[in-house]
Amino acid sequence: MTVALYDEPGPRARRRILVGSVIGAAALLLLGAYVAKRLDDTGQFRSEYWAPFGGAGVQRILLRGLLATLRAAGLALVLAIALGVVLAVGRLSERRVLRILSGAVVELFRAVPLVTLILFAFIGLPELGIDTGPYSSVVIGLTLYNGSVLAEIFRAGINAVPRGQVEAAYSIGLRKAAVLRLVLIPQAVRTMMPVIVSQMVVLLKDSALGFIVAFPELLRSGRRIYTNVGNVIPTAIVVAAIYITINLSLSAMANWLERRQGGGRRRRDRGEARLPPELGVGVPGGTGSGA
Amino acid sequence: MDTVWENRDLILDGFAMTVRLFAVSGLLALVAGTLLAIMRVGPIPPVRWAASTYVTVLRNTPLTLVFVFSTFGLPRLEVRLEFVTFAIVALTAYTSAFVCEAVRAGINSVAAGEIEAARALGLSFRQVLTLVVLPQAFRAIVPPLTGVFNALLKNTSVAVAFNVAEANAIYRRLQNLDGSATIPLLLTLAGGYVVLAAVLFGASRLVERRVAAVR
Repeated sequence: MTVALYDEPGPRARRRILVGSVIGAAALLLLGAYVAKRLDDTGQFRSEYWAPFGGAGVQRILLRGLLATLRAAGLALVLAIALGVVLAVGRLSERRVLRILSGAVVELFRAVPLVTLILFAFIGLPELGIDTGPYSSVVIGLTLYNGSVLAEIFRAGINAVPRGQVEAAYSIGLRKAAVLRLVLIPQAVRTMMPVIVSQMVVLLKDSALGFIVAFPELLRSGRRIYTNVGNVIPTAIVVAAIYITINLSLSAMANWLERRQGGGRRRRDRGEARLPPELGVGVPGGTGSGA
Repeated sequence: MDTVWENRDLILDGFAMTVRLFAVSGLLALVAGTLLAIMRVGPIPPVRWAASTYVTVLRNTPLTLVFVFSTFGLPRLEVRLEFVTFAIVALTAYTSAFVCEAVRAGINSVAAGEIEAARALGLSFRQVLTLVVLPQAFRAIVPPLTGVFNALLKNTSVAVAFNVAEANAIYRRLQNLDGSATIPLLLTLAGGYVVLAAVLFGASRLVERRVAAVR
């Protein structure tokens, strides 16, 4: 803990903390016991609810769902990064039209819920003569939303590169495109890597919205299992465990990348690029509050 | 365009449901999230662990899955509620984890000297927290909390898949009635969310100005 809300406890405080711990632990155990009893009373621990997960058939369904999730999230990530770069460069452009246009696109797709975007791609676009299936609807929705979010991240990252870098680059005779490509983007990408990885967690979680348009991703595959076996809660627990494992690994990767960049403070003192705090680099829950 | 105008009452009903989901679960999540944050910075280890486990689990689970737990799972435990209530349970459970993180960041942003001074005056942990730390923390976290609530506003849309007639459900229904109304409907829907988000940000700026403190 970074804040010293209390001192190294003395004998009396230690006793009080011990009492508190005992009471707290007892309360938690009681709560846990109540939930367990409720689960048991309603038969959630019955072996016919859990045994299917040992079978090859159910495992294959889950694995296929996981692959579909990863496929949709992976493709959407690549497309979102591309869209984000285009929109960020557009917003930083010297042409007013481009700036306003990209700004409007970014603000629109950030304001509209992802569900709306996916539904529009799924039932709206076919009405307009564009053929989409569940898979492309999910990818389109994820790309539009995350592309806009990433555009803001990229823009902040580019803006965070010290001005002197740009001036130096121009003064040695580089052109605008070269300044962007050789000086700004490499430095920006380095500072933004952790935020991009956290955005991957958001994107992966959001891919579960494919559930709504019957895209057979991981959660929808879970539905296939529980509608057959009738084990909603066991299935939800197993599926949740899979998501949590993947997301925690991604978060661990983001932390590792951030540490590898050589401790925020030292870097800051040297006046190197860093992101403004409102993007929530390293702040828990900073960008990760999507659906 | 006619479809939108003829069904304006229906569309307004949808947005009223969106606002209701947002307001109720937002308020509940604010309370629950603050309690979780206090548990997480408190001196009692088992309570601390319980709160951080909750936050880690909820933050890494897709909201759609939280909805499945709530709407389809709870009835299996013989909890019988209306679909709207299940949606509120899911949104509150999910959002409070993010509120907790925002509040905790705010608590961590209070200057250590303030806390040391308060302790030097002989205030207890509870007094330090309620008199010195939380009032300052809440001032600092208006912007990040606004972000959390903006996410909540958009997240209410997930309820469409769980039998709640919020704005997207209306869109879906009307779009089925009249395919040619797709674009006007979508623009109405998007416009509604933009307006709601603008109200949220306006309110946040108002609150921020009122609580702004010279540090």
